[in-house]
Amino acid sequence: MERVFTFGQDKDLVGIATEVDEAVANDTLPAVIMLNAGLLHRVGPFRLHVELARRLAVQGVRSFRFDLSGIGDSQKHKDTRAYEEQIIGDIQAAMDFFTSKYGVKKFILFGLCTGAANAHKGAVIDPRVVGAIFLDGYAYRTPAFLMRRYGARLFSLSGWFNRIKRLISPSGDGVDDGPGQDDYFWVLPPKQQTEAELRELVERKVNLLYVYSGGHEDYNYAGQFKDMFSAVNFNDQLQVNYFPESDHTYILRKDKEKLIETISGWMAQAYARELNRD
Amino acid sequence: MNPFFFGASNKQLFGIYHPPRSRDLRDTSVVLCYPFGQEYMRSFKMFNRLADLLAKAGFHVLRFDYYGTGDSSGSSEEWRLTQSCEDVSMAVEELKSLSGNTRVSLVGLRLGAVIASSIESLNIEELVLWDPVVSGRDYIASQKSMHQQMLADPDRFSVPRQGEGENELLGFSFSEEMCSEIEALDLKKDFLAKAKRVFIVGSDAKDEYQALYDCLQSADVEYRVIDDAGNWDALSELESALLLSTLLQDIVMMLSEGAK
Repeated sequence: MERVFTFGQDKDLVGIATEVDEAVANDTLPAVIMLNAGLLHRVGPFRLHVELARRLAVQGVRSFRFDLSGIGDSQKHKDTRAYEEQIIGDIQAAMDFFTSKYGVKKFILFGLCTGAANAHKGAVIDPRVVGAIFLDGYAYRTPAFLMRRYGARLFSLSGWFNRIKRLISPSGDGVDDGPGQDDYFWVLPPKQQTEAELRELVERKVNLLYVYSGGHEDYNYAGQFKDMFSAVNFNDQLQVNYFPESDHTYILRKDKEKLIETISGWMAQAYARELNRD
Repeated sequence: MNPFFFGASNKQLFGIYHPPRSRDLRDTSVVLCYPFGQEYMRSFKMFNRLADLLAKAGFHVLRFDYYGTGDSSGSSEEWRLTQSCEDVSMAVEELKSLSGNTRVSLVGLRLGAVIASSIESLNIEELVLWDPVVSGRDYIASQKSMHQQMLADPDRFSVPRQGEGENELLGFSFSEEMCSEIEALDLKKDFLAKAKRVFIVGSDAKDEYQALYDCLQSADVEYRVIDDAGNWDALSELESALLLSTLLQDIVMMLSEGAK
């Protein structure tokens, strides 16, 4: 069963709650708040959010997919707050609303791409967040990443030739679009900041699921997360999956089902106590 | 703007009703018919804008997701053209009840134009066919071709995925049954709508739009090309939002001409 709500201070945000059967409803189980992937409205890329919400509901997990201000059906706020401040405000408004409606007081933030960046920020700022699912979230290049990406070219004359040709091509703008200048939709925070924030989340007992696809510009091998954040002790609160065959938005059904299965499995494991409570 | 679910309890449809935002109320309401699949995702924001412009012009407007699409109930595998036609009929009744108007116009984009044209039981005022899919066979062929290009696209997949993705096209389910249903379509022959006035609006001049116009000569029909790129067959545009301005304004004008 799904219900639509308008919420927020001016009722200008639109969200859809996926409810669960009364028989399995459990207020101690956190609800999943789904954030927009880029500018796509709340149904998610290729309807990913809708399908995930319905799968989680079968498991007994409630969710709320909503549009941030100015995206999809939600109106732009008419105040002077910085956009990032508005985003955090919207995420918190979604949690406030869900608590008032369903009594749930703990949440898991879910997001892909910019949604993952927003989920990270929301998790850091709000203690009600007890879990986070980041699809193609923050990543930092490691020596092994660079070796995999450019190693072959270091020893390949044609690789260098193509690179030089790109730089001097009269049809180009003369600007190298190589490493360090990729086109991001977010500003990647300094690694030390992310490390410190992750330590805080671990300390707060937040469960973390990171899923990286083959479409992430800065992630290209299975052990990269461990290398990136070797200075952080995640205890048993971390799961990382790397699906190199998948694209960034999970366009193929097979890949999307594998992703949904992974998230569902993680939920079952990370929240086993709450899910198995009679 | 009021979001709500409507329809049968086992087939809930998600809709957004835009009440008029002008003192000059129109006596005609407008139901917007989305396209399907990734074309729906690409055009979502624009439909929101069109609904807003129409509401500002005094129309009651309803846009909604067909069964098996968007936020409506049903899985993507369950979407069917015939079901979508029933959904439009239901949306029309819903909007009549919300607005109190008995006169309704329809605006359909791509397959949405086909759906809007295939309903014989409704009496329509204005029918706007926006970049309509005229030949179902050509549409499926184009989708299949783009799907194959997508599977081999090195910007999407690090290892090509040719041979995968059966019964799906560009991120959405397309079973053989669904493909056959669409392939059988020829809008030049299958146009059933009873509309007082038909507008064919192309964001590009295409022979098939002209051919459709020629076929519909018995009706009060007008064909306009408004240069606002849709790029429906370009893989590079697959995940780009469609942002048009001139075309939306023109659609509002077309509907305003006929409504009091």
